[in-house]
Amino acid sequence: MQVKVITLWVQKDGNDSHENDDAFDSNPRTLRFAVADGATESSFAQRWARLLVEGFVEDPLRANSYQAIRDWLSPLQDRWYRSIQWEDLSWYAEMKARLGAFSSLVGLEVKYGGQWYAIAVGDSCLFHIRGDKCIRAFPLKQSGQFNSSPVLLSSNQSNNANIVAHVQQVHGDCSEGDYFLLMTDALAQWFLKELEVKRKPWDDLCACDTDAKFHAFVEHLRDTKQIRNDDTTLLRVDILSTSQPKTP
Amino acid sequence: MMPYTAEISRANPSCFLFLIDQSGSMSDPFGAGEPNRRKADGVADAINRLLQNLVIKCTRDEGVRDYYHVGVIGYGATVGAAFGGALTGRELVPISEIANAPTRLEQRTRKIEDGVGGLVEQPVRFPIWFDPVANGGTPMCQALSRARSIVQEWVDAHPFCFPPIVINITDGEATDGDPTTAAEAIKSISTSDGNVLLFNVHISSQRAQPIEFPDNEGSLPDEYARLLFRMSSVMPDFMRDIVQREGIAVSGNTRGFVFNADIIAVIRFLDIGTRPSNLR
Repeated sequence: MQVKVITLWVQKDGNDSHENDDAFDSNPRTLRFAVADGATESSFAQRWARLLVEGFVEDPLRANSYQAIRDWLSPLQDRWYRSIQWEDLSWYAEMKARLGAFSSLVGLEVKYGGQWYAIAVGDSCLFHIRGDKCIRAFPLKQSGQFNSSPVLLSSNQSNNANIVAHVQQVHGDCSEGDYFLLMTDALAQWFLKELEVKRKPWDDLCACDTDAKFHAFVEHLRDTKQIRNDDTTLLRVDILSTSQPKTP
Repeated sequence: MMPYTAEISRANPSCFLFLIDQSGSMSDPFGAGEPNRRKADGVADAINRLLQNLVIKCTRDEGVRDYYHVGVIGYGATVGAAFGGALTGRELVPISEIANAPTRLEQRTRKIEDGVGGLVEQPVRFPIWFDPVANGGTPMCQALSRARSIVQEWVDAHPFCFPPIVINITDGEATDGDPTTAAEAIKSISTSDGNVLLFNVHISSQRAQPIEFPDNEGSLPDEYARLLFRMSSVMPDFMRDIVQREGIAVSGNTRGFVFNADIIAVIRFLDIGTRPSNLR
């Protein structure tokens, strides 16, 4: 199994460079990839997004039961909690942090032979491209499904009481030459809008093989009001071959 | 462009102006809550909670982002900027400065879910900017007229921003005439994104049921409530949708008016970015 991974990121226009809310992680050896987007209206959300992608790449969240989700989140929540210098916080920083951080997550795991598995909470999305067709859009399928108040994974477990209904999982098969695009919400919404008018947005995205080209492309979409001004992440996984690596 | 869709950001902030009734009639009993509470207690509680919610909304990590400029005008024995302490005399203040200048922090406890089905008590520092005041007449017309010039000046400086929201917290018993004209003058000011919104929070001695965002005056208990209802802006579509999701019946005439109830929903749901729906 061989893959090629490209990760590209542009921050929200008007924000400082340290104010990125998106996170991504990948491991081409274990074939796990993840993208997350911390919610603007929550504190310490970037580190929570980062913990989620790293957590997925280390040990993918699989089962769709409250217990399994709680057990998977629990060590990440502990790490998030311990990362905050609570005693140094002002009244408002403490009050806000006590509410918990929130983030979306989309994670992909590919197996030798080409089976793949993905999980998603919130509005970060995955698209599976084969030839000149998008054969899977996950978890959102229409541009109208995006809004500014999705249900997200929280670092404060009391916010996750009804999360099971919002965790989506999918399985599929991929072949040599296929590729996956994982992306955060603003780009995913644009992608689905393009699909809805029978265009092939992956052509534009595949032409972006450097940060500079991706920046220019996203800026063009923003200037022409085709995309919301938001942190924007694209993680592309090309399937070069699906066979087991030869053991020497 | 649809109105009320301007992005609220630090580069393009919006504005809240609160008017608080500090007149002598506010020492009368408050119809909601415990028997010993006065209307002035209801006003102080409302403004402190509104400011706290605005600050928390704009808090990210260690800091507060200046998405809003906020003012509080008191009216009673005098009419004017009501902040105390470091903010004395200031009319519109960036929200981060308000966050850092409550007149005191009270130690309170609150019950929170422990995540495994129980409740635990947690100490919390509760900010106080305003204490109850009840003194003098109710110069509401004068307060609205002061608000109009503050808002006009802000709009002139921010002509493309999300329009200011003016929230008047009062028992409605104006002593300087009919406030209708002064209210209309505020609502007629606009940015390119829409007209200034004027909402009213009626703090009443009437022990009637609280009423949130009504769409007609038929259910309102007295003439003061009806007057404040008529002065209040019709809610823009996006706010009406949010109110409806909260379980309140709405129509095209739903107004930004509450009777002995809180109006915090208006702040909670202003869009400054992704707000998780499982954040309460």
